[in-house]
Amino acid sequence: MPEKIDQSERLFNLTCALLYSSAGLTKQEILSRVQGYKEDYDWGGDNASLERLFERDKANLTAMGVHWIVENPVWAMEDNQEFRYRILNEVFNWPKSVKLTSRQVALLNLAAEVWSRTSLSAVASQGIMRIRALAPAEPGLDILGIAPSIRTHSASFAPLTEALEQHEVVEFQYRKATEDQATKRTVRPWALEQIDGQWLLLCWDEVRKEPRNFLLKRITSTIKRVGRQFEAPSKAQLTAMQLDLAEHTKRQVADLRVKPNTMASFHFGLPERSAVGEPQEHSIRYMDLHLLAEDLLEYALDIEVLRPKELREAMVSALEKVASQHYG
Amino acid sequence: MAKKITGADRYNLMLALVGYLIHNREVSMDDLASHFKVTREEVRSALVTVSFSGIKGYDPGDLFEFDYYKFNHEGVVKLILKPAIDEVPRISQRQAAALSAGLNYLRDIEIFAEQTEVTELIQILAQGTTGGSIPEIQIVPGTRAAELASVRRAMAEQRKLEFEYHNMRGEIKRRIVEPLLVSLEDKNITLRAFVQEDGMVKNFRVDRMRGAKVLDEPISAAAKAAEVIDANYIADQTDTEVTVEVAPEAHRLISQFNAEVIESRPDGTKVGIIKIGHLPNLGRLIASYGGSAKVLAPQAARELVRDYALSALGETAMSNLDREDD
Repeated sequence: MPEKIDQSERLFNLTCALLYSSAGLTKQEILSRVQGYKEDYDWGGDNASLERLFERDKANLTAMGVHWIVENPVWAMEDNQEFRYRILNEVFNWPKSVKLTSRQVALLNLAAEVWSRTSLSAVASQGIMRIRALAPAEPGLDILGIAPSIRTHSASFAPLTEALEQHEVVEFQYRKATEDQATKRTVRPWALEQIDGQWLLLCWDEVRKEPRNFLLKRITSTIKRVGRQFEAPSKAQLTAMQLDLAEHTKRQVADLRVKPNTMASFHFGLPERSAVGEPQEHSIRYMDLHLLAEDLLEYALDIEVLRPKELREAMVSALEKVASQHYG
Repeated sequence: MAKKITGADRYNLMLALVGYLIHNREVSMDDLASHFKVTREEVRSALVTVSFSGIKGYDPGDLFEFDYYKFNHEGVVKLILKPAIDEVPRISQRQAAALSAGLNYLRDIEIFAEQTEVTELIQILAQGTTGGSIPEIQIVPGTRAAELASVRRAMAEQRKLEFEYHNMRGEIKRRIVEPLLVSLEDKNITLRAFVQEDGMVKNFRVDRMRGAKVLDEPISAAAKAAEVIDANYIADQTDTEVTVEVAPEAHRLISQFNAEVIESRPDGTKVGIIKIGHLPNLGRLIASYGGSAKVLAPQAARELVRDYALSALGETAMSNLDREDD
């Protein structure tokens, strides 16, 4: 624990020093003057481990949204020892004209809570901590009676949000629902969308040279950054892709017949019928046939799939697989 | 127990506290703790560190300074000197993305926020972000349960709610409940409500309700005093332990049930133990993973899953006349 306290103290002092200095500080000045480094600084000696610590701190601050500028004086040439580091007040400071009401802060509190059970939790709570500092002093109203929560069961969610922010090309293994083997994909992450509880990566596939969607649940490997950046998509490109997806979902419709008064009929919000009544017909739109098949497997005893035929086939083959895995 | 804060969190708290104290001259430590939703000790310790910090540390005015009498004797914080920092920092792009996606999620379920209110807030976040743009993390409106409007109104008006409920055991019962908390998790919306006849708080999935209507009767004092545990599933002593093997596609099963993971293989497969309240439901649960989740033990559980798959296969294949017998 003391190590961590040292870290927060060092980062805080570093932030103050870089904000204060109008001319900027060189790495040597930082290491020899700023609390948290200077205690271990060896004048005239080797400070390699201190320099590594500095690089880590720099990365940490950047990740937390504290941006530095590096000034390279004309005389410095190749020697990065002369680089001068600064944090600009106008970049660091929350804009004075932008104010928040208690109600807005309460909404943002709730928005942060949404992530409390995910890998984005620390990111969201650090954000909301700064927002609270902007909140009016009067006791904020809490919006009670609602506990929102998104779960991102996929381990690739957090690394993808990072790659998204830093515009980094990533690689991963992906297994399509109809295939047994995963294949390698190299993509530029553009956006993450949650549709009906499923996370989807919208991206540019570098091999196929076209926009593609990937379901996070079907990513079977870790997310690997290839160490290359890409230019962010234009608003138009992204919107086109999102519209495509919405259009695609609108066009795909499945027709079901549902037994009355079953859990399925409740789930699909069908009106009450006498227990011996005729099955009720119901249509649903879907994004991905195999995802829908999996959703419907839960209600397979109470429904009949009328169309499309492929949906029924997908359900049959999934059920055969499940049955065969549980023999013996 | 509160979770321990990391170095990064603590740094962030220090920045936030200083920013807040610049705008609010004298604040008690208790108020700071409740405002920032941290403990009083975390506030005190962060501020002590702030008071040793600053720009160089040799000259007067180089370090942060509080009114130490008030700090030590009255528990009140008054910032006197603040070298270098004069505003709350902007938020990072990722922080903004998380908060705006959270707002979108809340807007989607329309539980309280107006469309314009959320849009305005997302714009504010973009202005307060370093870099000025927010990475795209979106929540697209999903299928909402038809009964949600009544649930929401009952919550807002603090009145009892009546509905038909299809429970885990396949029974349909008429229930009158006193709504306390709406919990959203991914696409599942659960109402936690006090049930007078049972004298306890129970969970109801909104997609298993039918014909919900708000009654005139207000919720009782007993309901208001009831303790609400925000958990979709609370393990019980009568639960059955089931060992499952899941491919990456079914990792959700592990996290949903807070399963104990006993083995993680290099190909991403995990073996874990989940606790099941009503075993006959296991069949539909495992089947919904379409073959990426497998029950290893106990044998009775394996048989349940197999039987479910076989009967479902019968139902599904029955209408498929083209299918030949294997």
